[in-house]
Order: sequence, then C-alpha cells, then structure tokens
Amino acid sequence: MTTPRLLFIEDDQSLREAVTVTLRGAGFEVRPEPDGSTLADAVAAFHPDLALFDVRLPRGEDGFDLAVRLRAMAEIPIVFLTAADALDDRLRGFELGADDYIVKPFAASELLARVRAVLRRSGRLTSPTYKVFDLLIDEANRTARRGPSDLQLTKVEFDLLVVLSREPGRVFSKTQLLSLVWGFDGFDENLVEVHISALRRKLEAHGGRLIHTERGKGYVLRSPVAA
Amino acid sequence: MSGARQTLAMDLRRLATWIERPGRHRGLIATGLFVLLLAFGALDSVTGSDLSLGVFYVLLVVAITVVAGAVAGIGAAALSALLWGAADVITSPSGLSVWIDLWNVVTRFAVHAIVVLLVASLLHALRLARESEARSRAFLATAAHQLRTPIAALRASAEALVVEGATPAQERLLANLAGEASRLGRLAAALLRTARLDQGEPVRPRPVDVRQVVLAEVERARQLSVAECRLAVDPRIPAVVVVDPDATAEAVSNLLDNARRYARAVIDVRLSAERGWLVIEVTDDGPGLPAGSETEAFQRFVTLDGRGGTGLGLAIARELTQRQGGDLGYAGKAFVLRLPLSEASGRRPDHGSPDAGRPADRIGAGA
Repeated sequence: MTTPRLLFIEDDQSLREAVTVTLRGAGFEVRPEPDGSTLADAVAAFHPDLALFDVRLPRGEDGFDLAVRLRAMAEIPIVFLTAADALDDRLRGFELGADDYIVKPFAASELLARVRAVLRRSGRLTSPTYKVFDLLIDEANRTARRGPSDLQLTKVEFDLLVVLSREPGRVFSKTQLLSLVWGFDGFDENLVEVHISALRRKLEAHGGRLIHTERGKGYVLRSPVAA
Repeated sequence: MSGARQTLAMDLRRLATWIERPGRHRGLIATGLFVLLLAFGALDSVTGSDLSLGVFYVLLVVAITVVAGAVAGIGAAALSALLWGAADVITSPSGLSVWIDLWNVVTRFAVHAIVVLLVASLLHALRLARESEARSRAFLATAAHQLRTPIAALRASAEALVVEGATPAQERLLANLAGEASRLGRLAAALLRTARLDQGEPVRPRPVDVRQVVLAEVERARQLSVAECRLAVDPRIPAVVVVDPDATAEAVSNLLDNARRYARAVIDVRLSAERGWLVIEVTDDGPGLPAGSETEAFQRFVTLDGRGGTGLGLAIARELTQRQGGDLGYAGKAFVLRLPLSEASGRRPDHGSPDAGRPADRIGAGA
C-alpha cells in the first residue's frame, strides 16, 4: 500500500506544525507550506494525492484562489480548513470544487476520518480491506468480519476496532482512545470502558480474546494465541 | 457704524419679517424645518438592517411633522427670532449691549430651540446607541471568529501529544489540556452563534422529515454518552413538515448535550404532535433543574454548576426555537420544545443541505 501524500497549506505556524505531526503520526506523508507561493513546485515535485488548504491565507491570496490554481494543474481532491461556518462560505467552497470542508477547531479524529474518506472516494487510498489475525476489516464499507461472521458493529465500535487494529501490539491508553475515536468531544473515560466491553462481547462471540487489558496502561489488540 | 453691517442687519430683519408673515408660508417653513432636522437624524438610524427600528423612526418623523404643522408657529418663530437677534447683534454699538442683545436672542429663541434640540438629541442618542450596539455585535462576531485558529492550534497540539505517548501523569494533564481546548472551541462557537442571532440571522424553514433530524441528533448523543438514549416518535407526526432543520437540530443537540452531562443512566426523547404544535421533549434521570432556577437557566452565561458547559446552550436553543415561532420551556423535569406544526403534504423533503449529518460542524454549544 503506497503512503498517501498530502499537501498542507496553513499560515498559522502552531496549527500547521501540530496538524503535520498528527497527519504524519497517522501514516501520511505530508508537505507543509505556509502559503501558496510554492504551489506549482509542490505539485510538480511532491505529487500530492490530496490538498488541505486553510481558506484564509496571508498576502491577499485565499484558499479559494489556490483551489482554482490547483485545479488547473492537477485533478486532486481538495479539503478546506476554515474558521468560517457560515452556510454561504461552505456553499462557495463546494462550488469551487472542494471535496470537503472542516471547521476549526476540529478534533484530530475528525480531520483524519474526513481526509481518509475523501481519499477513499477518489480512489487514492488503496487496499481499504485488510486482515489482522482472523479479522477482516473493510474501512470503505465499514464492516468487520471475524471468520465468516459479520460482527455488526456500531459506528463507535468500528472506529475503536480500527484504531486498535492499525497497530496491533501497541497499547492505547483510555485517553488516547478518547482522542482518536471521540476527539475529546466525549466527557469521560467511562465512555471508553463501556464501548470496549461492548466490542469485546461481539468479538468474543466468534473466537478467543483479541482485545487485552494492560492493567494501569490501557488496551491492546493481540493475537488470540496466548502471548 | 459701517454701511455694510447696516445693510446686512436690514436684510436679516427683512427676512425675519417675511418668515413671520402669517399664512401658508409659516406653516410651510415650520414644517420644512422640522422635517429636515428630524429626517436627517432618522435617516442615519434608518440605514441599518433593523427594519422595525426604521419603521419606528419614520412614524416618529411623521407624527412630529403633523404636530409641528398644527402648531405652525414654532419653527417659523424660532428662525425669525434668531434672525432678529443676529441683526441686533450686528448693529449693536458697544460691548455690553452686544451681550444684552445676545441674551434677548437666546430668551426669544429658547423655548422654540429647546423643543427642536430635545428631539434632535433624542434621535442622535438613539443613533449612537444603535451604532454602539452594532459595533459590539460585529466585534463579538469577529472576536469569536478570530479565536478559532489559535484554539484549533491548541487542540491539535494537545491531541498530537496525547497520541505520541506520555507518562500517565503527563497524559492526565494533556487530556485536561485537550478537553479544555475543546471546551474553549465550543464556547467560541456558542459566542459566534449568539452574535449571529443578535445580528438577526434569518431562519430558513423548508420541508424536511423532522423525525430524521431528531433521530440524527439522538444517534450522535448515543455515540458520545454512556447513558441510554431512547427515542419515542408519535406515528401521527407527518412525514414532511416545514421547519428550519439546522436550527431545530442545533436546539435539540444543545438539550441533549445538557442531558448527557446530568443523566445517570437514561435519556428520553419524545417527538409528538398536539393541536397544531410539534413537540420535542428531552428528559434525563438526573437531578433536573434546581427548584426556582427554571427562568434563570435559560439566560445567557448562566451555568448552574461547574460541569464544563458554556452557559449559552439553553439560551441559544430557546432563541433558535423562538425564531421559528415556537418556544422552549421546562416543565415536570422535561425540557419541552414546541414548534408550529405546518404540514407540507405533497412536498418532498429537502435533502439539499450539504451540511446534513456532519457532527463536527455543530460543535455543540450546550456542551
């Protein structure tokens, strides 16, 4: 599976750095830029799969203008980041060919989910189905199977399973899960416990324990064969 | 005394006499003066988006014009007194008599001047107040808008750190940081919302399936809550009704965010129709509003305890409901939202909104 490449243009330095870390941590290759002056070079040299623009950029050029320029150079999906949530701005964004629109401030989980969804829709995210132990996870259709059975997971249970399955063997603390799945929009860690239990029940109806608890540390996805 | 001054004084006196002459001229000039003066003040205030205030001013100008026309002497006498006094001042030979003449002008002019000045200053004060209000609304909207990028940076940094990995103590602090940044974001969104409502942002009612709107919010609450969220829908609700889906969804979302904060195990949402009203009730099995605080709770920036709310959720929910011709109240441990039920039979629901089903776009002002 090739690593998707993201061109990210954001003038606020802190935001640009934090989002770059988040995107790279999630497995993307990122080229961050403070403005659109290097757009032509970025497209030619970096070959991005998706462009992420802030709508308000310095020196008179805004994300919408950039989108127009980019469209002339390459047919890649564009996602806008903006502080504006007025309906008219959003409609304008879509009219200019934006594929999605994220309102600041956003949860990292939301950003990642949308970027992945757009990449998937444009066919640039390859192998959306993967196997982890005896699980078959299809991110595009949001289904998970264990052996021959469909696990019938809710949205949250699926997101939780995906986070754990992307890095089997890595222990995720409750806080990390709260961030990655709920984006801190949930209020408390009980949320994690409740949904982990529900997920476990569904998984273990079809086999041995996959999600283990590390006391005091968190949860981890490990092979059902005794570790 | 110079001839030029004499001539000027004579011209002024002649003009004053002409103005004082009884007949249509007096009425015309008086009315004209008043209309000019008041219309000037009113026009300033009318040029603004607040239509009802503009209508009020127009009516005020018309009323005063009629009264002034009826008491036609006022404007004409005032103007002529001014001209006489000016002529006297110009022709006065020495210092003291200038002051006496000025005093005469003032006293003859005074009563008339007071009426005109009072009305003019009232209008001016109203105009200033409106401008000041408009400026603070614009400021609030801009400030809330400007807050969003730094808040986004804070939140993104905290979340990136959490995922990178940290000691348990660090993680606790980072979680608090990210949680507070998230809350700051909700507060900024709520402030922006409030500012927009104050600026008279219109509601956009259209034919929608309100059951879907409420269901989407209940689903979202289910994902974010450990409590059980139950939804009961009255089958008599028509499939398509005319409401503003975004405003309704936001109001329900705010009620559910509150419910999530206080519920112990169960949140109940009931959607029903009664006598021309669409009724949405949200109850939770938590402690409910403290007795006597029912009115206060709906005011802006009132949080009844420190559980991380913005204090704006209920106020915004009520405003959004009232804008649609409905109301939001609290009765028997339930928040009751009523909207006028206007059927749109034969029309198909409008799925046109591009923001349907996008939870991040409504950050949940009640949270």
